[in-house]
Amino acid sequence: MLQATNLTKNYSGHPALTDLNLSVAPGEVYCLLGANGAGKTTTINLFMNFIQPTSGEVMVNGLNAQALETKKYLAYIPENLNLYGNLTGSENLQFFAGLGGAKPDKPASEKLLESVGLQPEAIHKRVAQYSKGMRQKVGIAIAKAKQADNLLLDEPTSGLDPQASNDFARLLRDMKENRVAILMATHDLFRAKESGTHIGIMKAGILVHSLKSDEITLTELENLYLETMKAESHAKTNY
Amino acid sequence: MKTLFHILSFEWKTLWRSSTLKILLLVVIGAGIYGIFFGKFEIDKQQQRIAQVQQYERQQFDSLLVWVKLDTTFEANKEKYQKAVSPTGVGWNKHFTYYLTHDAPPAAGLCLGQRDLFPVYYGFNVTDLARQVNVGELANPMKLLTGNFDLSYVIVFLFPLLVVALFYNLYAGEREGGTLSLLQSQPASLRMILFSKGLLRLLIVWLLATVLFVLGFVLQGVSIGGNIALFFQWLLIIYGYCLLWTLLMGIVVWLRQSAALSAMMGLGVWLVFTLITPALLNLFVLAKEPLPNRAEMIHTVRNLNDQNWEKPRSFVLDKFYPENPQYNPVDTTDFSKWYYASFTLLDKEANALKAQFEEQVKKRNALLKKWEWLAPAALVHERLSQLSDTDRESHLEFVKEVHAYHQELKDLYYARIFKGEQFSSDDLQTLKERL
Amino acid sequence: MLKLIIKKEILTALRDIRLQISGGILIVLMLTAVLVGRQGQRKIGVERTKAQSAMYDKWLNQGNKHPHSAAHYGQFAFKPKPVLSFLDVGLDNYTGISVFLEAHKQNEILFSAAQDSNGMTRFGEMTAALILQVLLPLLIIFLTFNIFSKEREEGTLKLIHAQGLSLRQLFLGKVWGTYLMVLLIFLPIIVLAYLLLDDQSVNLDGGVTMKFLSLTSGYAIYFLVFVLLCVLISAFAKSSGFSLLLLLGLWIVSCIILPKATTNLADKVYPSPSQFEFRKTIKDKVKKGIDGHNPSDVRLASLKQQVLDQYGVSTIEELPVNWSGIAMQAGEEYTDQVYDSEFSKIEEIFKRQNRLSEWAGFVNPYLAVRNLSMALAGTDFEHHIAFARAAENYRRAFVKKMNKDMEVNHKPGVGYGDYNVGMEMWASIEPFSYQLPSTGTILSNQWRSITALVFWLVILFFLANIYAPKISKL
Repeated sequence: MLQATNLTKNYSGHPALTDLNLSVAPGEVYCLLGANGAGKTTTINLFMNFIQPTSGEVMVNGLNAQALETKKYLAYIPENLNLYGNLTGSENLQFFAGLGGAKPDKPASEKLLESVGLQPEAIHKRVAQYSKGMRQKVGIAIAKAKQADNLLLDEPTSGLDPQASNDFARLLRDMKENRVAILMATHDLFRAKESGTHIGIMKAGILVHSLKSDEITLTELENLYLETMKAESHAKTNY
Repeated sequence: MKTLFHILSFEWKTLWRSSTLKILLLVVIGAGIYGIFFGKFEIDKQQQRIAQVQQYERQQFDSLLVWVKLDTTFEANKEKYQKAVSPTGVGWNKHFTYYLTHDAPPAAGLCLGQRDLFPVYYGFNVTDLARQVNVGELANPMKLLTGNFDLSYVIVFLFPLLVVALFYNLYAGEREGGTLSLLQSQPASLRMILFSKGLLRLLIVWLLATVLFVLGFVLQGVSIGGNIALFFQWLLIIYGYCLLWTLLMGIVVWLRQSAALSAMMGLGVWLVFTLITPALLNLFVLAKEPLPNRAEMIHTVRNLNDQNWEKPRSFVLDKFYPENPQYNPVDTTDFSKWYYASFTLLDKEANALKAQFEEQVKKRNALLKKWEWLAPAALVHERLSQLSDTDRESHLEFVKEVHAYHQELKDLYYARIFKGEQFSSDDLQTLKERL
Repeated sequence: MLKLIIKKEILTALRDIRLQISGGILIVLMLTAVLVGRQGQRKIGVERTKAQSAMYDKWLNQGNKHPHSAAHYGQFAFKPKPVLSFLDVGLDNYTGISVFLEAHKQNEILFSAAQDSNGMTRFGEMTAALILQVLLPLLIIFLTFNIFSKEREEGTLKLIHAQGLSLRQLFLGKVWGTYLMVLLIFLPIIVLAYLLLDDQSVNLDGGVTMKFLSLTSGYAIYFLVFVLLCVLISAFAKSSGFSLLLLLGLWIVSCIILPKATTNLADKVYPSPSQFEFRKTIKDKVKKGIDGHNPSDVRLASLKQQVLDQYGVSTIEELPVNWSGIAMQAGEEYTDQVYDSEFSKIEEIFKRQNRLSEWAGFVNPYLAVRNLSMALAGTDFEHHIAFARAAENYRRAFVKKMNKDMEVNHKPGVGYGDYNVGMEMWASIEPFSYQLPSTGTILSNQWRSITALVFWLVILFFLANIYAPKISKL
């Protein structure tokens, strides 16, 4: 369960996020759309407590996100997932998962990595030789190993080839079925419509639209998005 | 605790697989082993010189023991016999030269300290000591200036650099490598993670120091068991010093700057504490408290000597007998008595002046000591040379021994000279045992 | 074009807060070193001059006595503190500062400052030389480590190249821009240091201006070498981080580790004898003759025969001159001869050791500038030897004069205590004074270091010329 109440973040006076109210329940996939600088990453960073809010509140499973404990319930995959280059994929998984207290043993981590689609021969190679898609898969495995109730994704598919992107969507679906609350920032309207249960469109730090994905077709979504980007005023409207 | 071990084990894996660490360790171990052998080489050279001097002294004295048994009915043997038994020597100032050597203490090879600045032996006879200890050792001043590449140098100078190299990207490396956000998304606090990483590095540095230090003992053939207190005191100082640098780098890491800037800051701290502060202290203290003009002492002795010779013999003897009542003041005009009494007076005067100079030096060094804490590298080096007994103080102790030995010899010689007697074979045996 | 690049480099450097801070610290350190150093040097200089004249006074006022007693009474020589030693203290803390000059004996130059200090002295003294040789190169590293990689990482290198500027020009622009920055720090302070010199300094050392200029040029070349080296490395380093690591590593090796290792190696390659061996050899050779077949009693007998023949008499008592005086002077001269040959052997060993580090200047420019700087500041081994020679010559001259007087004026038959001379005789010996070697002598002694610096400069410009066009733009 992810919740933001009247969430505002200013960077030395400049608003990056204004008065955001948002809630993602277990089994929901909330996709945040918006141009660069719209406040998507800021939102995710606030949930991760990488930055602290100027005002308002961020809650994870009913706990304030500033509590270290919430990290137990949060998994996170950034846009550029970097791992320790001189550890293998399996070792990276064991390390990060171990930090959460749930260190999988070798066979378990192998199984986990295979389940996210990493080629078996790559598992014990050093990550320095991995492609971006492979690293991303290890990231997902780390998230899965944690068995967290919430998943935060910051443009996880940018730069992935269509095949990897598709694999990714499948994984998302699995997680959704396991009643994970997912908040994802993305540029990909198609993915958002397909994988998301909810869609939000942000502009200049404000959540302009928030709707359910089955209430709208892909074309309508595209038009809505383009119009929002064009519009001068940021009046909040509910569709 | 579980998390700590978890991080330690994985951090060790990453570090061990990085070639930078291997190169660094190789360089430091290489430097350390070179330092150990260099220290051994230097001490061996000193010990060789000491052995040479001792052997010469024995040889010379053994011939005296042969000469004392010579049959003096043969004309050719007379001079040799006289040389052996006469406490005043034969001919002008032909006394036997005794040597006292400053043997290298066990851990000297690990920290050569100030030993290279001073002679490790003095040769002297029973005349005044004042004019016989004004000698140095032949040394290229360039070598003294650049100093010794011994194990203490490696620890005092290079270990902090190792700490800087291991720590500068403790935080920045995660940030610049892109792993920071993933780390922060875990329920372990970043502080804990950084602390564990730091702890592992400190442990590596400590381990390396221990290995080198034990190697130093083994390769130099110094028994650890026989010097157990010294061993642990050294180790404690080294550990403390490495810890200090770890804490300093901890501050640098805490500032959370880029890797490049952190490296520069680390190097800056190193420069300040190992190069700049000691150099500044030396500059200020040297400008403020100049060193005593020791030529004054030579002048005083020659002046007194001049007076001794120019003035009637009573000038010397009137001062000598009241202070040395053990010698009976009969027949005061005897040349030998006057001659040897005059040396005692020279030494007395010289020692008083020397004590005065030493006071001046002490005052100056106290000033340096007062500010020593500003230069931890110099402080640690000084402590290590103190422990290894290779500092200036150790040389002063040696000089004290020289004075005591000289006094002992004088007591033996003067007892005969002032009675107008010759050495017996027993006397010579006693002297031989004192060698 | 070149001007534009230079201007841009200087502007960006001047606006960088990190460089402002480190440059500022360097300037403050330099000012402290120069001002306090000059004060300390003057104080020590005055003290030594005072001590020298006080001791000469004592010589003059020693009262009437036999000339040989006066030779035993002896004189002192104090090493004058070279004027420029406040810029580079060199070996000054490790060499003795005074020597007692007396009949029959070549005493050592004694009492180095290091012997009277605790271990702190071994960490060096803050002088301009330390700052210029060790710290300023570090500033150059900070100025240059990302001078190319930053432009590459930010993409401005492509932009610049698109403007039609050749890489060679860009390279030179960066080199001269950095070099001007360095001169901006170096020159004002060095000028200030020059202004601190006064008439007294010129009296002490006539060539001081020439030496100062040579010193300044030596450092100017050194900085250019360092700038070229750093810019070249930074141009070909994969990333800023790698270039910084490489340059710092190079700095540590050449400024901290190699100098020590070079000197230690030299000591192993050319081992020197101990004081004991040295003195024993002299004693043996005096006794047995330099070639071992000319013992002292044989020498004395033949000298006696020669003198008797010269005056056509058969016994010493008949000689019109003082035989002891002749014998003493002859003994003195023989000892001197032995001493000279033995001492020059030691000197040669030490010079060879030092020459190794001069040659090492071709590997490590730091060593080249260090040796040159020490020499020009008057604090190197050659200067120490020059002083030792001057003092020994002075000793020989005055002892000879005393012996000669004894030989001629102390008539046979007159008792030792009955022939005395006084103040007039003492005053006929000029006070000890010693002229520092000229700039020409120093520079010719240091030809290896000078060649090494020039070699570095030429080779680096040559490399820059070849490789600058090959700098990667991506």
